[in-house]
Amino acid sequence: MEFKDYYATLGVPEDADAKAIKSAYRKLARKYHPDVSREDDAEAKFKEVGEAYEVLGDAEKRAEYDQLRRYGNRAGEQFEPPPGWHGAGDGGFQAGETHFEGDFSDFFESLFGGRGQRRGGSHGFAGGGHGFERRARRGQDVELELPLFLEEVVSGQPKQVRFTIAQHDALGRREETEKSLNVRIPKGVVDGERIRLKGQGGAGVDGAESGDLYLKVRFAPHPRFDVDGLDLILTVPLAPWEAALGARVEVPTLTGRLQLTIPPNSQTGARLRIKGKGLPGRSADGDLYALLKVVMPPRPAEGDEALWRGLAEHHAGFHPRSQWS
Amino acid sequence: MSAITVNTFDFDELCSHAGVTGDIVVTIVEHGILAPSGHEPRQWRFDVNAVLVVKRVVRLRRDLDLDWQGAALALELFDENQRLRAENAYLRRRLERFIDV
Repeated sequence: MEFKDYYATLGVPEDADAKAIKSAYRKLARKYHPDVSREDDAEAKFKEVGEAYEVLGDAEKRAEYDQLRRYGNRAGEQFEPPPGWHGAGDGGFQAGETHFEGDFSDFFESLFGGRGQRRGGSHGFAGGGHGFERRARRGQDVELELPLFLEEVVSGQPKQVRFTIAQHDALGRREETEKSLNVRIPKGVVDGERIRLKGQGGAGVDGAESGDLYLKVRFAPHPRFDVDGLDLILTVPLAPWEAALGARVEVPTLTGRLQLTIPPNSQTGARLRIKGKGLPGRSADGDLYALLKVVMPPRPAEGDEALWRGLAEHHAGFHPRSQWS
Repeated sequence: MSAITVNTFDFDELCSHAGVTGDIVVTIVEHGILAPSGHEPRQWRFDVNAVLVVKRVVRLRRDLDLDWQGAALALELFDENQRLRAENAYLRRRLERFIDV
């Protein structure tokens, strides 16, 4: 077990007063609170900060910690509590009394046993929570992101989801359970939607019901298609003459290819709707929109100039910037 | 095994799933943080996100010493921020497709 430097965690000097420690804690708690933080690893950092404040914010615990620190313990070094250390000797875990879900580090537990007050407790959906501990506990809810390729959304095939649940049993022992299940992607699911799978979270303790699994659907960006609700948008590049004369263009869909008729005199930005070729919906499927984009040949070819000049003369009355005047 | 999906909660389910007492749920509804269908608690129906909203707002309130209004505001601003970031990323991607030849 490594010795933890709680002062470094809160970014305060060893002689910081209680006020400075509190304000450092508050600032970091805001920064890393998993419900509002975008920092990587916010949850782990929030727990560290909470644990550090649990110790440094409490005069008694801080004094005990400082005493150990003066023994010459340094952050990152291997640490064993000194023989007869009173902190760990006050009963340790007693089922039903301690807060099992307080994920304090082993280091903290070895020093202070079950004396944590759970400041930043029950994150990451550890069910129950403060003040509602009882022997029979509902299993914890689990929230996961479910990344899906658009092809998977369309296929309707079950998607395998694997995850690990860490929770504490009736005796307060931490156990990790691996779960794997096949989830049928409901028709009409949209990006960001949550799917609740009843009873697929952590197992309940002492006969209580299991927690639920929440899957937050995330559509992976697709190289061709953008998604707008159930509709798909495909950008279709066209040569100027295709836009002018009209054309039959083969376009990809999520399930194959189809022939799209480009009407003559099409503009960049025009959208052509291909009914029912979007994502599957509950009542009706989404549509595929072809968004036209006229592109010039990357390199001029011989004779181009004369041809374009001919067009320019032919269209002498056309002023593309007439709106400016 | 294919799992079953259930997408609403009644009042008691919400309390038990979020691990809170009924008066907390009532307070949360009174602050407009959740808007269930139905007129009174016994008829309330909450959507699938409700449990997560309750847990988040309760944690924010406790961990950051906020009152209900403050916790609700933090949650709203955060969610709005997430939504705008997602929209921004989406529009950027679309713009790139349009600009890149």
